[in-house]
Amino acid sequence: MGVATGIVMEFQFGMNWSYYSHYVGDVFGAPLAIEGLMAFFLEATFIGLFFFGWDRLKPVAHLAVTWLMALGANFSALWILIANGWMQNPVGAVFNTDTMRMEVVDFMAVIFNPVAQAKFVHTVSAGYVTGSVFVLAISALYLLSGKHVDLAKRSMVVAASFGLASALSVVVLGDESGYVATEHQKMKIAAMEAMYETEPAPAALTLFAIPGADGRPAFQVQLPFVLGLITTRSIDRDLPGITELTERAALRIASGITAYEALEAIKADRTDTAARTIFDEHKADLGYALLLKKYRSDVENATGEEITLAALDTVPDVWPLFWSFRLMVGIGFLFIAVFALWFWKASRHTLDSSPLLLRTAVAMLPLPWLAAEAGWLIAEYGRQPWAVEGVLPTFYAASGLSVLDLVISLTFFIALYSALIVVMVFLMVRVVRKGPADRSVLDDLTNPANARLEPAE
Amino acid sequence: MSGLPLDYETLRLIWWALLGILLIGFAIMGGMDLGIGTLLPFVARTDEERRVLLNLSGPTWEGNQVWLVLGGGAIFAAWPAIYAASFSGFYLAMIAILLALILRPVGFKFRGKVDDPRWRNVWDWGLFVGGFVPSLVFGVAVGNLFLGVPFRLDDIIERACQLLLVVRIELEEPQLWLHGLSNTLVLWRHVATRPAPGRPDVDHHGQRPLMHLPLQRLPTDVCWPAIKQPGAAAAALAVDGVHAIGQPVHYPAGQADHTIFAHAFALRVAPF
Repeated sequence: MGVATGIVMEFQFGMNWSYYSHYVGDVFGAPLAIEGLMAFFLEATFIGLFFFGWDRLKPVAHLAVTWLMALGANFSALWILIANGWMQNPVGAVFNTDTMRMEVVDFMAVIFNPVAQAKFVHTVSAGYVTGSVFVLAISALYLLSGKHVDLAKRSMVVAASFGLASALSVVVLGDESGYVATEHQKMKIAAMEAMYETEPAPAALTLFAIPGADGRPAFQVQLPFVLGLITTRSIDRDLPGITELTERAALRIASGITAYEALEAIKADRTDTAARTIFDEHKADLGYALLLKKYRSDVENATGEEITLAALDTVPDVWPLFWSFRLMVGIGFLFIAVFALWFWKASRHTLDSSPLLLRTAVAMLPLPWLAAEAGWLIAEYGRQPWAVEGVLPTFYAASGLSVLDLVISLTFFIALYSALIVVMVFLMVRVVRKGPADRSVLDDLTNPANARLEPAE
Repeated sequence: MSGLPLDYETLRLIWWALLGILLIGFAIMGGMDLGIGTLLPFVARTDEERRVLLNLSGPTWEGNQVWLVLGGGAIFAAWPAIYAASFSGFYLAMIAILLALILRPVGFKFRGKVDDPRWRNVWDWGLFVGGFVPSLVFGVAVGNLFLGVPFRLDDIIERACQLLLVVRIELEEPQLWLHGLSNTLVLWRHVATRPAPGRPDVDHHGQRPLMHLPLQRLPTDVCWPAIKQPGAAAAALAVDGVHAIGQPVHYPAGQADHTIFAHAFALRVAPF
């Protein structure tokens, strides 16, 4: 499935986001191409050897193949998250007035982008947690029905210990992710917390809130100090609220208009050094001027009212982010508790003592996917209205496609992916029902004559 | 990327060669896998025959497809303007390729999971679509590059939303379908002449319906251009990239119909 969805994602940038591809392709295309060179070749080459090489490779060679395949998968995650991290925190690139697009000036800065590194470890450990929960749930199911008991117990020991370590790291590294977001994406943090007014330091963490008629929190339960400690790691730094950030955005839009005007002058006369000086002073805000394109094409003539509207556009939808964040964090802490409990039970050899607990473990199966989706919703929806934070608005990044094009492609993708997930779940349920292969099946597979007739996998 | 010992011209040449190698690599390596998918329901009737045919590409097809993935990545990294213009311009054709390619991994993985003839037959037809549609559309797309694609660039910063709008592919041109078909036929022949390793008892040479098709006697003037297509495409794309990157901004808005691909191709294709 990863092969199927990966190629769709790679092609989609050019197909649906052609201006994006052109404008930031110099920066964004590079990690993607390196991902292909480094990760895909490694993964795709060795996955074939992994499945077909069991009876043809020596055990050590097969183990090496397995490690290389896993290394490829992790490299893949690293490079795609470096690309994604750049969209959240566009470092190491500047606007080139000769080519009219963003270009790399410091590739090391793109690679060692703190947002990308925090995201990579957070995402990969979330993947480990997902795997552990899956093993734990299926093993619990076997224990409940009294099948494959030995295997289930051994699996649970591994899942509980590995899961505990991963669940702890996912929360700790998520905290790191929140801390770097405070540095680079203040609006996202404010929206996630439904924090309209700037909180005096150290800010309180909102546990729960009910939105009022105006969209602002009408009632909330707060833990004093906690948010300030998490996000600024200090007790004396303010955390700006949405209202203050909107005012700052309006200032940046005004500065962006100056950059835009200077750019027009440079285009008309490439030798205009005065315009170049002005542009260099204001170029960091050029992206903010592009927000006005929604209201008029001649940005330099924007009215004060339009600037206010564009500044309000920089606020993402508060409540979906607020609840997604609480859902993700809640599930994250639940996993720590659950894995700690099973780790304790495994060391006491009482894994199958409580059917109720086993049932709870089975019921947890969908939670890691839910938490991961909530996390991506915060990351991507929380970045709106930007495709690249502060550089390129989403509406401006799209291809010039017709509504019909999008209806056709979306219909087919939804139909195909939905059908495939149904088939996938059906097959997984079948495999789980069947349980691990017994000895006779294994013998059958390792016989070279039969192995050759075995269809792919 | 300051500090590198390579200048822009050299890097451009390296990427030009790299892209050509990648696309030719895919045509040769992945092409056989696509051909196997296309032939699957026709040359192999029984389940055993189909499994033998699938095992020809089973362990390696994922590695072979990476040539295509990387070709896409190379265009994106080295010539973003070309990537943006061609992928969005050929939108529906690209969607057809993607939907068909999705059926390949699932076909390979899911087929053997259930021992039921109807189940396997469904995935075999999925593999057929996954092999036939991409090779047909690749051929049509490359045929388009031969003839030139009407192309318009707006002034970048002012009209970004309409930037790189490419006029629809004109599929009614019969030559284009010919290119697509010849591409598919070449892939078929590639498979048909390949013996099944270690299985002389299921050797399909001279026994399968394939031999009744006049594939072996296809005139070389049909096959040869098709084999050369990836290289020609690479040449067209690369020269184009140079063109677009060299002077990317000042295409006056409204001065439409820059047949940029045809222009590039005319430069390079003469020696062929």
